[in-house]
Amino acid sequence: MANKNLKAAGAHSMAILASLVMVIPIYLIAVNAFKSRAQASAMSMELPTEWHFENFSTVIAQGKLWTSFFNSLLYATASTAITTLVSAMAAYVLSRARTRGRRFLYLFIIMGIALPINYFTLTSVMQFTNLNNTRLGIILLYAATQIPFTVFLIYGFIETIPKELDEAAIVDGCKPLSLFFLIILPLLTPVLATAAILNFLGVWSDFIFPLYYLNSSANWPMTLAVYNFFGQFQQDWNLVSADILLTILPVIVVYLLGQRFILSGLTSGGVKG
Amino acid sequence: MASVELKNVSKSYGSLEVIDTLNLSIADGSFTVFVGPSGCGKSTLLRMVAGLEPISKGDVIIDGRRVNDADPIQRGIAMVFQNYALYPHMTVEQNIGFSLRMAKLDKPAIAQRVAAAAATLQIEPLLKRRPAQLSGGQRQRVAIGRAIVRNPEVFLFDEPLSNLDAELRVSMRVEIAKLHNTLKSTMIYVTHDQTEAMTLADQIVVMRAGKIEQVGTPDGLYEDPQNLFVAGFIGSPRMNFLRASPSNGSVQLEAGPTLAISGAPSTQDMVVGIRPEHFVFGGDGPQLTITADVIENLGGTRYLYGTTKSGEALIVEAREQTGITSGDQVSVGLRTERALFFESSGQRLKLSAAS
Repeated sequence: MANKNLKAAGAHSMAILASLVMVIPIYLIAVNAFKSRAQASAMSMELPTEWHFENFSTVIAQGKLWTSFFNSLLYATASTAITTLVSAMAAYVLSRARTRGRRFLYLFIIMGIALPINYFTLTSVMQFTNLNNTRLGIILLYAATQIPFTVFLIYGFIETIPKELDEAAIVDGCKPLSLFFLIILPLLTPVLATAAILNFLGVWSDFIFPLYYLNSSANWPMTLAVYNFFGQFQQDWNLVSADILLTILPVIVVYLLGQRFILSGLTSGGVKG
Repeated sequence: MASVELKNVSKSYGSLEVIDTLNLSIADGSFTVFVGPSGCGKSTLLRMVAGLEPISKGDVIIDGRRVNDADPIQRGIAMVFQNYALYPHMTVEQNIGFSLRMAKLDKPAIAQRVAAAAATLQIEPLLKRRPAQLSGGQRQRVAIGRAIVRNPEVFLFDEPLSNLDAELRVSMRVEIAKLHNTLKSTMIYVTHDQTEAMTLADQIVVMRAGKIEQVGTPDGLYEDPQNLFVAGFIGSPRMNFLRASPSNGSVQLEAGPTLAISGAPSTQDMVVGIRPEHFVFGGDGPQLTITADVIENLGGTRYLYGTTKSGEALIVEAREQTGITSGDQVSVGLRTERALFFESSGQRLKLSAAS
């Protein structure tokens, strides 16, 4: 009994420790976003002595945050839509009709999960295709990098959809496209929601690609807008914090709205297991 | 309605041949059952008729038209799958009407035909539900509804009842028979259950290892099987097989008695087949002594599972013999005129009891 309690206490303290690792940075950002410039320069844990709500309006105005917000929204939405649709189609074909060639193709695609992107001559490719510093370029780049994991995710899910459904649809007169869009895609909803949320959040939070491939600040997403307040000669930690808080706000909203879609189990019942 | 003709049809996966040069004709409006043990190729054959499985060699002809390269929809077939294969995200109504939607019928026409199909199967109250909210029997009805709504030339059933519990299976079996009587369409039905085959079929096709063993009416196969496999497969409980050898115008069973026959078999070893119901208790026929192992009382009748002196297992129907308990020595008479004779290789020997 004592042993059991000890284990529970140990597990609890581990959980608390892990939570602290997650919570402390958010707390730091949250309190410092309301401080004056002078007080925020220490980035301490203490509460603001006076609350500077105007930090947020300053950030939005000075950092052209609305433009950045719409850039972020565009990149995340467009690349997520492309990734999810293309991956679902690819995963369906690769999972259903397994030949040696397709097996190779599948393994080749999911290799993209593991390979370090920095080792590829992406910049040359982007320049050669005239996609450098363009909105389309960054959208395609995100789609390309998200596809391997998304294919992997959906591929496993497709195995749970019985092949008889495809056959029933073919007997009912479906052509390949109507089979995919009317039968398969609706049944993939749970995994598509998962994939879409993960992709959206991944793109929204990314900092590296825009830094490399978007030179003009008009194309910057929210994550890069922080550079408006942080530079060699100027370090407004209160504004940086406010900017970060505004940047992560949509992420939290999407996560809270989306999490209930992740587990909905649409496929149960159509076919006896 | 249409006839179905299979001409020299074969199917192989690489070097593995699963259907071997097979010929069969299925009459317009008939109910044909493919039956055989699992892996005999019966489902593959059905899927070749359906157009879900490419045909390696030979021709499939539906209504006089070669359909080898036609899509399922062009063949005029509808199929009911073993696991129902209902679309989980659609209501019953949408499931049944889906093929009509694919055929680009307008909405009122679809609604009308779905309603008619639902009325035939008495599933009108379920139309707004989703498959997950239905019981197994209801799902199977919906699956059948999806097939009948199209007025297909040929209905294909792929073991449609094997996921249902025993009681439901019997009642659905009767409904499928009724449906055939009403629609008078050509139906092809695959099952491994010989009872379903016997009760539903006009024509039974017994298959084994990609080959047709025998084609015939239920009675024809039961009374006149061409080989040991068919004799053993059709009938429940199965036919008894006893080792025997010929001797001068008679057949000597290892288990004891001699059967007088007309005609002289050339073979050395043979097998005598006799069904459980073709024994009599008492009488003056050849007598077999068996030791009762188990008595299975089904209420209406009872089966005696015993062992002969030669150590062969034997099932005897003992409808009236209530007193037998396990361990008893029982003497049963064998109705020689109902016995069938086989070569040990399995081929039927056309011998009959001497009169």
